[in-house]
Amino acid sequence: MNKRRITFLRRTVQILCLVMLVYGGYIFKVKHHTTQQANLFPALKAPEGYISTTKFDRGSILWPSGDNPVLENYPPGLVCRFNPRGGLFKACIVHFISENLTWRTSFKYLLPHLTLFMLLCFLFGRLWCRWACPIGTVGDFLTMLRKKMNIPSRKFPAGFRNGLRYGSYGILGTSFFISALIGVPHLARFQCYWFLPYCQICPARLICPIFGLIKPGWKDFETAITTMFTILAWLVLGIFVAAFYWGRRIWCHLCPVGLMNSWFNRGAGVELKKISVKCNKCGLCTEACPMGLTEMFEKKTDGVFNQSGCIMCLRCVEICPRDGCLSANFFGRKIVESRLKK
Amino acid sequence: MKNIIFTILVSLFLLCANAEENRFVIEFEYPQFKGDFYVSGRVSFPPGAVLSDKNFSVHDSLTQEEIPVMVEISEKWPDGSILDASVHFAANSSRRKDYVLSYGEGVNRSRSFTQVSTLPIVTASIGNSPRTEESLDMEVGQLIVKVDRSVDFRYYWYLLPMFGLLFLAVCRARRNSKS
Repeated sequence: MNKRRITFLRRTVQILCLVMLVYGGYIFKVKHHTTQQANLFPALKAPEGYISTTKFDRGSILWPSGDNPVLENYPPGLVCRFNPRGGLFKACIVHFISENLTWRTSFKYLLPHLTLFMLLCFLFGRLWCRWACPIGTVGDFLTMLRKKMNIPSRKFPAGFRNGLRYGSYGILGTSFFISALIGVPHLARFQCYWFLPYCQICPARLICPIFGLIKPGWKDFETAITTMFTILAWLVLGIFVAAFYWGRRIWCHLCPVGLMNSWFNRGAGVELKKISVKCNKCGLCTEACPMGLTEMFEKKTDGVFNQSGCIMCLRCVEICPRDGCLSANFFGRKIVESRLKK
Repeated sequence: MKNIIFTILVSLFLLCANAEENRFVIEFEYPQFKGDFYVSGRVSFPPGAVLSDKNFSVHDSLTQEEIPVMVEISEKWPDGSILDASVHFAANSSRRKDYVLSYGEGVNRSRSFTQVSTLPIVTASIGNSPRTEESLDMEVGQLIVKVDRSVDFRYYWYLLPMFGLLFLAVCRARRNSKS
């Protein structure tokens, strides 16, 4: 019952989040940024002479999404702008930082958005990745397909997962470095090619517009740089599909947005606890973990075992056959715990 | 004797003080092309500071060499002193210099020109209005207009919850690692 209850709840939340993020602009009336909103979260626009997504004309490789989302915020998930009506949120945190590094926006205007991001990460950690991220929901659909076809998932060693994490740092660092570099006035002419470098190869760029019934910019072979970005985008999409199809959530080790969320995971409000004396070392938790983590199995002492890679899917809690061995807590208050399977 | 010397020194000091001279740095970007061009900029003076268009001049900041300028007075204060003027002078991209505009009663310009030849013009910014971090004060005769910029500064208050969250996250992470 525990298993069904958590899975059912998670899938419901995932579908709700997907619908809200994709069609939020239609459900809620898209309104212009009011003064009250601006006082809390300033709307950040490109300065005169600088490029923005709507002005990016390289074969629509960044699709022309609306500039007026319902909320001018950047939550910790891959929430791209899905349709011309704007969508519910502006964009993801990597988009936010890259864009404003290029625009050389004053740090004070970034503070409200960064504070909100940190608050959401502090409260929920990487729970966003499994429960709210729309790209993750698409990936879970691929995993479901694999299960229906009775194809076994592949196990990846810890070294490979660590390698992906370093790769994620590389992607994030490179993206921010290029974004900052093209913000230098003397290099501004490169903005038409290198603006939002990660967004140009992000799988969400190719997948998300389909939900908003927009044809994404599949290809642009006009110049060498756009050809490179087109090939990279297809390569990353291939990795994304393969990762979700065979490796379950192995993509989440490479996702730069997930990486930024993971910085807060160990100290997040949502925490996973283990009472080791109740553990019978069956290893079901490790088998069930979509991220391939083993800490909950290996941990020999009682306490919180939030790992930076844990996406708080609570699969370990729902699969654990021991009564009260594993539990999910919110700031120490128990939400759900493992139940004895009869 | 000492009193006489002291009186002379004080008088000289007062004379110098009366013949006040102020300076503005002229800022502009050198153009990409090679050759001559004009630097053109508008400059505003405080009331009573510049009584005549002879009371300001442009110098090379290193050699103190006076640069010939063309002046067009746009507006005057009620007391007849100059409020706003356009200043043009010639420069060359091969000889990069830093220019300074001096003005005041102590300045007497000797070099000027009136006829402008057809040359590219580069816009310069000359002088700054007195401003603080939180407000921008513009002296408009008897009227002082205060522009409220505190709205921008309220965002710095977000640093408090931000550091609070960081602190809590680090503390909790350390505690969880120990357990």
